[in-house]
Amino acid sequence: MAQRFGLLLLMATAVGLLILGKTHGDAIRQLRVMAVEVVAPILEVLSAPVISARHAIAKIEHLRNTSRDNDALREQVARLSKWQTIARNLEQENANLRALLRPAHDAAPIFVSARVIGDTGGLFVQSVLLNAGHRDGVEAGQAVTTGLGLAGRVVEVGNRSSRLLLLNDLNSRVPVMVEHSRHRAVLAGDNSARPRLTFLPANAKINSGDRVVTSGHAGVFPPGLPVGVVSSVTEGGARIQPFVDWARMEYVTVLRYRALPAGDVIRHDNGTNAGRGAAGTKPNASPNTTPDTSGER
Amino acid sequence: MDTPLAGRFVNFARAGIPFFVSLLLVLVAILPYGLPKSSLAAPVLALISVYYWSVFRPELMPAGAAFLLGLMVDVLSGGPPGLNALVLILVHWAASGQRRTLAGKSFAVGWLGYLLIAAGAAVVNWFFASLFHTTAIESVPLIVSHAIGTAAYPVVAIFLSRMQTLTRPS
Repeated sequence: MAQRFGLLLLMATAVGLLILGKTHGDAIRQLRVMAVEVVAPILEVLSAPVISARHAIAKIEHLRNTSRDNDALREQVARLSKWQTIARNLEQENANLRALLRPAHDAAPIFVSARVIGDTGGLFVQSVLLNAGHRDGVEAGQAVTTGLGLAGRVVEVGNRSSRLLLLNDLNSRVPVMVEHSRHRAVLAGDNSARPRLTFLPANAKINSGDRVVTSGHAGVFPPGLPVGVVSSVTEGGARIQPFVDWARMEYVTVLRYRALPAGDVIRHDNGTNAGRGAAGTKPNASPNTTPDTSGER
Repeated sequence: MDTPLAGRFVNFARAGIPFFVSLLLVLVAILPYGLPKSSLAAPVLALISVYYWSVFRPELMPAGAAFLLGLMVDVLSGGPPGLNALVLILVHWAASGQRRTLAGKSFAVGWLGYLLIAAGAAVVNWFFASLFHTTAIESVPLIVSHAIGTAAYPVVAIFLSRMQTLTRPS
């Protein structure tokens, strides 16, 4: 009898927590940050040998593939040195033109490197824990990248740990644009490996293989960070294959970039951007991406 | 050699084995192995663990312990708070309620029991997660994790049965 009562009480507590999580999300988040802070040092210690083992395995792989990699790299160097010449010319030309136009410079992002100490996620959440927090200058909302591209954004920050919400999480919304057509959209995660492009202007033409970068709208992410390539275009919309290799995320870079004051501006701004993008009958008429507008001064 | 006090302490430590082994499994499961789907490991291992102990040593895995384990999984995953806690309490309730049918039979019976109870857990999980997010959640990850759990059950159960021998007074 008492046992049955205890069981019911615990069930009611769990359901109560779920309801609280829905109505008082911030308070629950705060509690969760505190709990993760306690576990983080344990995870940091436990994850060190795991990382070492991964490095050892990677080293063996490298050794096995050395000669093949060498050939591929030599070929790549030959190809890229051609690009380097082109890039040098463009860089010079860009500098000259910028000197003529005198646009305001984008704030250069300062970054913090962090190690992934927990591949947590689970069934409905795509997130990982990082070993950097307030004391390292990490704040909620900051963009996180790997060498390959945008990984997601920081959602919860403790003193020494933080949680990175990945691009493909259900709650992830990132303002992006198609690199060459400059069409703006919102990249919305849905727990699948390839997030959806939403709020694309109706007349936007996108093709598989188009590169997608951050647009810098909402002021939290720096513009121009590589995100992924369009992998499929259907009636329902387009899907993106992110550049990030989820399975190989060991170290990440947290960008301490902030064009807007702190606060929960992300969701709000996403909404307004999205609204504009969706209703935009002439979405390409005004090239009001961040660097361009500043250039008009 | 055991003084009554030391003996009592050893018994106390033995009684803690199911909970602490489960907790350790959850913590070890979330380390960054860099393997695909490895983020599903923690909830799956918690589920197998709570099921196993609820069938074979229910007095050492009370509902409160199942609740705490679930809460731990929820805190670490950053998902809906209380969801795994609720699921694991229900698993504990179902598994300990059916222990007469499940315990002491062949290994396959225990496995089949896991298959059925974990399937029920997946449905509850999906229902409350969908309610929480007010949208029908993609059910594929749940099916995948159920399959992974069922496939992993024998290995984990053998490990846990080794641990179970430690809980018996020598």
